[in-house]
Amino acid sequence: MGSRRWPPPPKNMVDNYPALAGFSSPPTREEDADRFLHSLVRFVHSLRRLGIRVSVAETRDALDALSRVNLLDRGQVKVALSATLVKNYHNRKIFDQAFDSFFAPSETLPQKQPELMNEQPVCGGGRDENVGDRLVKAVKEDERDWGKEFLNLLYLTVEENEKMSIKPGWTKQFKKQFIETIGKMQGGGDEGPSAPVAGKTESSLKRWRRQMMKQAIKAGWVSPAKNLIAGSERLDGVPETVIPDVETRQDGESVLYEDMKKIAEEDLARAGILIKKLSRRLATRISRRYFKGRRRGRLDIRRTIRRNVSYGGTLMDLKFQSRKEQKPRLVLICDVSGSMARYTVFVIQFIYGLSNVVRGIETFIFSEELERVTPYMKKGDGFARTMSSLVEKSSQWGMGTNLHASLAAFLKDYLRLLSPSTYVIIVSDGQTIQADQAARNLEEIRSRVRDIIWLNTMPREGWKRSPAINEFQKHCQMFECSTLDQLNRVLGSQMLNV
Amino acid sequence: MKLNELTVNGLYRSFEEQGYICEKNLVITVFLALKLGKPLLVEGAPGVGKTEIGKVLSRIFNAELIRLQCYEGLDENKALYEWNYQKQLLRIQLQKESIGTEMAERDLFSYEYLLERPLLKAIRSRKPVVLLIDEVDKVEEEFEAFLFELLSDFQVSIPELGTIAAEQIPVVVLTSNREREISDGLRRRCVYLYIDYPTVEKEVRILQVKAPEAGEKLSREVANAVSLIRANQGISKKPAISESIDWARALVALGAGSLDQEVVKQTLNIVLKNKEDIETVQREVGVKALAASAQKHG
Repeated sequence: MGSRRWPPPPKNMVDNYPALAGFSSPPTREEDADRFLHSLVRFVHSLRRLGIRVSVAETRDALDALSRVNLLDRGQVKVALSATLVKNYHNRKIFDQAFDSFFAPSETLPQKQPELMNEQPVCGGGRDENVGDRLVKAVKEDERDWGKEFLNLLYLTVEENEKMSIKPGWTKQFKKQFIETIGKMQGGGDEGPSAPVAGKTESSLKRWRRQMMKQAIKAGWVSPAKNLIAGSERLDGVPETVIPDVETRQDGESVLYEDMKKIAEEDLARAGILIKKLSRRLATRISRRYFKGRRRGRLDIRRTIRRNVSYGGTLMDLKFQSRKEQKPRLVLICDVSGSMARYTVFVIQFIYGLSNVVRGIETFIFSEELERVTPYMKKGDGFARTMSSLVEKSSQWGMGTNLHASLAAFLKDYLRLLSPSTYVIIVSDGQTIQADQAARNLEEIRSRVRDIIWLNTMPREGWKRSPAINEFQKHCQMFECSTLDQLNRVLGSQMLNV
Repeated sequence: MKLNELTVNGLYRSFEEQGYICEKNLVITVFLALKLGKPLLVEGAPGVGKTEIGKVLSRIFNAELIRLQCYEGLDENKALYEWNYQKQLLRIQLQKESIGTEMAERDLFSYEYLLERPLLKAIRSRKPVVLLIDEVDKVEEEFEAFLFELLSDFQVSIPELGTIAAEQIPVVVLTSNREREISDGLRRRCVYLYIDYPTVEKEVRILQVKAPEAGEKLSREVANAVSLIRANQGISKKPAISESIDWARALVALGAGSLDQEVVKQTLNIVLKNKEDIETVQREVGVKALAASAQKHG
């Protein structure tokens, strides 16, 4: 059996391999080698099951490395395996746990010996209970505890979310009115006959929201302080001030400086056009890099000389360096929770505008959970239809906020979208539960992408009072973005200049 | 030291002799990278001694250190090779005036006109070299892809010259600050090492080696204080080992025998390099508490 085996067993195998758990008194060298190899392979399988990517080449490296260290020294074995199998800092802890479960420390070997003696290597066609299974069992046991903890957390989350959203179960009604509002926005400059109806809807929506807030405060679901949508007394103001003073406006641009959640219904259409323009501007700023610049840039001396060698070195045909082709990928993550409700109409307009112009943009919305909405954007329907179906089918609109859960889900399921050429744009007011964990998720995402740009609808003066925002700021570029003018300036800034 | 005579203990001793104080696990990983002939990928926070590993290895093996400092926009022309076009142009001009000598294109694209950049230099070197590719997380994905092809086969293709294989496999050390994740492809080809900030005990030993004039008491006080500062999560740039060393030297220069409150106040800017961090430490840890903690343990 042994002579067929490849790769060859480590040279330092014979004397010292009992340091690895599960092996004792080896009968022959060949069988030793088989067990040794199988043990390593099983360990690699276990690592893979725990989510660590280990290639065949790395397994070979590990075998090679083991042949170079003292196998009696558990520490050396561990370093050899970790240096060759685990190439990411994030996976270190998982590896440590796996190693400790898989390879029993030498001091505990005597107690484990009888159990281990009964075990047969897989190749021996033996029992089910082997070392690898023990690891899985250990992991499973661990998971039970984690699961319980997680459930508790989840329970807390639901409770808190209920407090944070204005009223549980309000989304259905909200959705309906929301769709009507969207219908109004998509009309663009032409207000049409539906405008008054939509306007009425919008103001009734506001009234209804105010009512709900009052109820929520009365019922003690939320404290008045928590009830602040943008986290600031100044911005939220008393409900009456939500309707802006239309008469004071001198020109059409004033809508630019209005807090987005206070823009009057009659200005929604105008704001809509403006957002379209803005999203187009951002889109061209990004998509410009999809093409090689036609303008002449720096002289490319290398190519010029090569080209002109045939002219005897006289420079007849100049070659220019064009901008390096780079394709930044965009991932948009938008908060559509209760606290962002009034901004959401602009956010979705923004998403739609962007998705229309930039190909390959990935779009997610979140409140309590993350939802990928890219497929909705690809159908080629009009704005109203796209958004209506989006609002209709998604359960995220107007719920509480859990950025941590959303980002964790993002990291788990959409890791492939993150690369050094990716920009992640987050639109949120940063008011979330489990902010510490969310900050850690953000840090991990940051380490994988080119940059994170956070458009925060909370005014800047409110940021200092929010520890969560302070944490988030460490891992992203945060811009205040509560008015259209700010959105315009953010997009006009150098933030996306690569 | 010769590579084929290498042992873990021997390497450990050599590291200490070169003034690089570290855990044995670090040395084992370096040993394995050398023995397996694989590049060593070193990750960790800034200032924990990643780059120093490359320098130490070059001294231990008495090999030339070839360093490629990575940055955004680094391309093959700057990392691998470039034709010496000025020289080529001169040659063409000279050729025009000297009648009768034939010049073939291949003369123009020979080694004579080749400007070696660090990667090619490391590959073509006949003597042992240590290739240090510093801050590899700064380069673009395309360059990373190019790099891992080079590092797995240790050969490059130059269209005009053909494939050039390495004369001998260089010792390669790559460092990354983990500002961005580097690709799995590159990771797979390397032996991986993560370096964390040193423990107080280890930092005391480092200070005794690097700033012996500070003495053990002051070194311990500095190590305690720095450890406390690093533990504060509000700090944006945690003090590096080199900053601890600077601090100890600064204290000696000021004639301070101990890290008391006044001295901490005067010299905190040596160890913390931005205003916000100094304010954070003053506010959240407090100069008094910092001095007390340093001296208490000391």
